[in-house]
Amino acid sequence: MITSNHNQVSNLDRLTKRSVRSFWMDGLWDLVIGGMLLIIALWGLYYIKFVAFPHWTWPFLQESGKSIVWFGLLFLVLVLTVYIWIMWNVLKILKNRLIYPHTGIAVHRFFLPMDSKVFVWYGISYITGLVLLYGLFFWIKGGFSVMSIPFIISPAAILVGIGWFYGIRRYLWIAGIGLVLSLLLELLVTTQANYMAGPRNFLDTLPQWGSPTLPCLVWAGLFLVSGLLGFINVQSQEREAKPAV
Amino acid sequence: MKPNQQFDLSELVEVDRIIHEPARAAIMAVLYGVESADFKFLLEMTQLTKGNLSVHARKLQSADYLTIEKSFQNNYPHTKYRMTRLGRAAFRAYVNKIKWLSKAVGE
Repeated sequence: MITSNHNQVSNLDRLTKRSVRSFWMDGLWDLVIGGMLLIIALWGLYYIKFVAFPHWTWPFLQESGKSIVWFGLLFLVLVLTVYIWIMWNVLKILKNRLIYPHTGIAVHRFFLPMDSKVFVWYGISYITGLVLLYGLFFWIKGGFSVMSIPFIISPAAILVGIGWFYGIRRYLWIAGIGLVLSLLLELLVTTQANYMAGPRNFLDTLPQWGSPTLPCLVWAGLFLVSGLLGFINVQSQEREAKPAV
Repeated sequence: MKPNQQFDLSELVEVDRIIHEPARAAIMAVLYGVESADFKFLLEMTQLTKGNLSVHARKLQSADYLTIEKSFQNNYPHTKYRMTRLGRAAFRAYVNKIKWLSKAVGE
């Protein structure tokens, strides 16, 4: 009994992680988050269009002045609320029809069971990464891009955290690809100098007005791909597991 | 007692006997990760047989470590299991004790 203590603990830990992991395995969560990020990115495109290039927008929007920015934010919140409500119901139907008959039903905890020491180290690493990126951006681009950095690093941090703690390999891949892609796009495509000289096109405005737009587009695409991969994977596993009639 | 001190056999006796059975420990481990789960979910996760799962879950229920709710969903019986606060504390204590024992015997 004593010699198997270590195995016993690691087996129990593995089982707990497996039950937590089941929440993400079907890929539906990824699809919902991907859709949400896509809405934010598309909204960002219109926002840039209005604020930086008013002559691109409809005349009545120009006449409304800056209040339209607040109206736009309100509109975004409203769209996201409606989206979440619709997706909540769509998810319920999809889970009941496609997932639960095979996996059974589990109600997942809002706060994940996690060791407090690990949580503290995770927080310290996240803040360090944030500070380093601010420094890197300031050094390369010659100005602060306050908005874009949290949008670049936060999805990566969430994916790495979940992927690492609960053993979901596809999240680690997506986090790596997303981080590199969004960093390269932000650092190489957009420059503060072009904006200061007077934006000529859409890309020149990104550092100032629409900085979350590019990272959101990258992450939205990757979350949607990840969701589809997860969903296809779970469905094909279930087909294989079905006994031959 | 710290792990590097002399190992006391009485520590072994203090291990929670209700949880210290592989099937019951597996049920507790799965339920520890979620708010609640149904019979099918527990069956898939633990790979126990239906009979074993029922018997061991009832044993855990009698120790107040989990609650069992029976209902009907679309005319099918549906059983939901939820770990109690006492169960969570007992499982945490059990895992800590086993970890401690592992260190004490130098595994």
